[in-house]
Amino acid sequence: MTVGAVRRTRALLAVEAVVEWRYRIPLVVAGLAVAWSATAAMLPAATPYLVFVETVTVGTFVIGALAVTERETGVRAVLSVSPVRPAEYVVARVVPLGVLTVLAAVPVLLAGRIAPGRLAPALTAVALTAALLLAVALAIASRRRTLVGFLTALPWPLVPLFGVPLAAAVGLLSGPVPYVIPTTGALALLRDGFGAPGRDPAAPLPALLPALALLAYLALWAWLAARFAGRAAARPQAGKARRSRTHRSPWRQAEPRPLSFVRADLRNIVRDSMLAPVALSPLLLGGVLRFGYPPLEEWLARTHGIELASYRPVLALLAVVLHVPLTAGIVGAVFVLDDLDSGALGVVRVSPVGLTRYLAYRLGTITAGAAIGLAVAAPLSGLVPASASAAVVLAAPLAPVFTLAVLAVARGRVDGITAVKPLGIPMYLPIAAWWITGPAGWILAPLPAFWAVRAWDAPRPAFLAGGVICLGLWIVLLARRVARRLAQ
Amino acid sequence: MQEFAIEASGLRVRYPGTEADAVAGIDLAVAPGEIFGLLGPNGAGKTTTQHVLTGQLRRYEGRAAVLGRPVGEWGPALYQRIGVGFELPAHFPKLTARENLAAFAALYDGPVLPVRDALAAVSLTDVADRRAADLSKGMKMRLNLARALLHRPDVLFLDEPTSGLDPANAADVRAIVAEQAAAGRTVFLTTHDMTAADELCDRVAFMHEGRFAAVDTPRALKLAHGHGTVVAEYAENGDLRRAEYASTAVPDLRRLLATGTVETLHTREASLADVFIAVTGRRL
Repeated sequence: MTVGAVRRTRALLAVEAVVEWRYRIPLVVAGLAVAWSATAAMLPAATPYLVFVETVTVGTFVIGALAVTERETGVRAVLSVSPVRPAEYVVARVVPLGVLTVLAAVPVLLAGRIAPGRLAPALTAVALTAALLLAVALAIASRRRTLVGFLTALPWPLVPLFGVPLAAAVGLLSGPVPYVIPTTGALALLRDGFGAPGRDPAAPLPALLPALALLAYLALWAWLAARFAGRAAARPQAGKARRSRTHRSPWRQAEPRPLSFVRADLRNIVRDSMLAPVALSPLLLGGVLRFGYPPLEEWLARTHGIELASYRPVLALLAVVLHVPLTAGIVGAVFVLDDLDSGALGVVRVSPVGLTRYLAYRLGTITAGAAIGLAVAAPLSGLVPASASAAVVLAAPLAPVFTLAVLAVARGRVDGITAVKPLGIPMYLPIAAWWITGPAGWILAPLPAFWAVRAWDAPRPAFLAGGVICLGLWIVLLARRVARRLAQ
Repeated sequence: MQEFAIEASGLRVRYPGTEADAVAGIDLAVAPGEIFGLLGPNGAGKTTTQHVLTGQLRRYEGRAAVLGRPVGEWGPALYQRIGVGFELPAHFPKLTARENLAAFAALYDGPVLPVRDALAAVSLTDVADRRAADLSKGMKMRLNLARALLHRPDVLFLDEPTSGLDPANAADVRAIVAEQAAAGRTVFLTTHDMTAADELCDRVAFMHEGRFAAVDTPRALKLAHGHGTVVAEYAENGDLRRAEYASTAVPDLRRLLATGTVETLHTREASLADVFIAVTGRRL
């Protein structure tokens, strides 16, 4: 590495640090680390999974939002005509978020009471996995013009990178083959720090795969991903916009009528190969749970003695009743933020449609999308009984509530994507009401998802009324704030 | 043999999936210190040409060289020697104007313009500590220009530097570009702004459908496509009248001037916009 390269990389890292600080990303990550640490302290056995699924991915979405924003603001184009090499660019983007991830993982692992001497390999696994994921996300974002395009493309590599390790962790996959996926070794190392080998017949670290070999293999993949990201980022950035198959805002069209928006959104879904799977995801989710969950539950009971049947409602709430509307809410927020950052919202503001109708249209379609998604996924999954129909009805409006919550705190894509994780905590927190009995459970009543959880057992009118009032209040309060912010 | 700052011969670019060349075999030679303007309608091939010359587009046929060396051989070192200003402002929105320039300046190896001098050069000293996102469009464009000048490049490629600016801001930008040429820098200007091209450029090329339709000095082009006549507007019995004369030497014109009633007097050379329409058959 030349002196110039070191200097340039240092300069880029300094800029990145300032930019991330201005977006308050370190503060958000610190806040999340506190929440995760509290969870780890309460559920030590869940710590490796918490770190693997939540902590390690904390920067994955942020790096995409930063890259898409950088492209739109022209910074990427400027860097492409500067002496900066693609490798330096990738290092500057990946390292700060990688460091934040590792720093966030330290208190979580300690709170979960990681075994003495296992902290270093676990943190190395966290660092390398984060680097791999960040590089993959950066490569994808470098080829997408919008955040919607990035977020809809990202799941494809994430499914094997998370699905295989988790399947190996519960014993569904065994032997060395799952370790071909590099993140399998990372999760195994994390579990190793929490005494999993002694409890688990399928020991996470096979004798033939020592920790160093797993880390070296993970490092190799992280390096390959970084090179791939460098190549993707090095593609010449034209000064003029290139045609893209990803999301194009309907608000750029000349016809500002609500029906044309609907047509444009439908065109986006039909024409965009990435958006179609998002639209079909409730069907996929329902199908996977219908055909995959019962044998898994039976298998866990038979081989591990783990009885999940009594937790079915919790799983159904998490994976279907709350997950579907919250996903719709995120998509809705990202659509609005893409419109905001691209300047399309400015066009809407001075069109006959106006911001209020725009917002109403977006929230309406999000609610309808969540309702349709729930109507498909809930019965198909086999986990949501007919008696829980009130919970499903009260869950659909969580989509606009979440969209509004993100828009209430975000001024752009990066803010929005950074806010998704912390805002998700109060959304999922009411599931704790399942365990909190008596009057104490009502402490969570102001949270919008509380009523859907309470209404699970039966459609009691009082819960329905309470839910409607609570959700209505949240929507009105947040919508007023969002309308004010968007109008500025 | 003269070494040109920018050279192209037989330069040809065709994008995948298209049937026509975006750049259809152009020849070009720009001398050091020259301001060369590339004019033409959208889709004429101007930006593609600039992308080839700045190393952003690597798939081309023919020869393209900057500062005596083929563009493809330069690698990233090219960007130590050239500055590129984009049509749209490019900056970190969360950083101030000063922080933006400092951030970009740190990427170059050689001596760079002190940030305060760069800000002063584009009259942004007063807003140096304002975030880039909060600057007006004119300020952003000037910040854009300051960024391209930071590392004192030998060649400046500017794409529509006056785009969307009010006349005062546009005049400021033109003055800055003229100063760069006076300091010995070569400027390759891509623009629709006929005033900027006329005022700044030593030579201009009109590009149409990937080819150069005409290349010359603005003066020569205007004379070649204009009329050699003089038009006088004068007052007569309270009315404004107009008369055209073959030249200023015509006795009738001299007699008219002697009456003291002439209000305006114009030669009828073409404007650059007229030249463009004449050579391409299209409007700008």
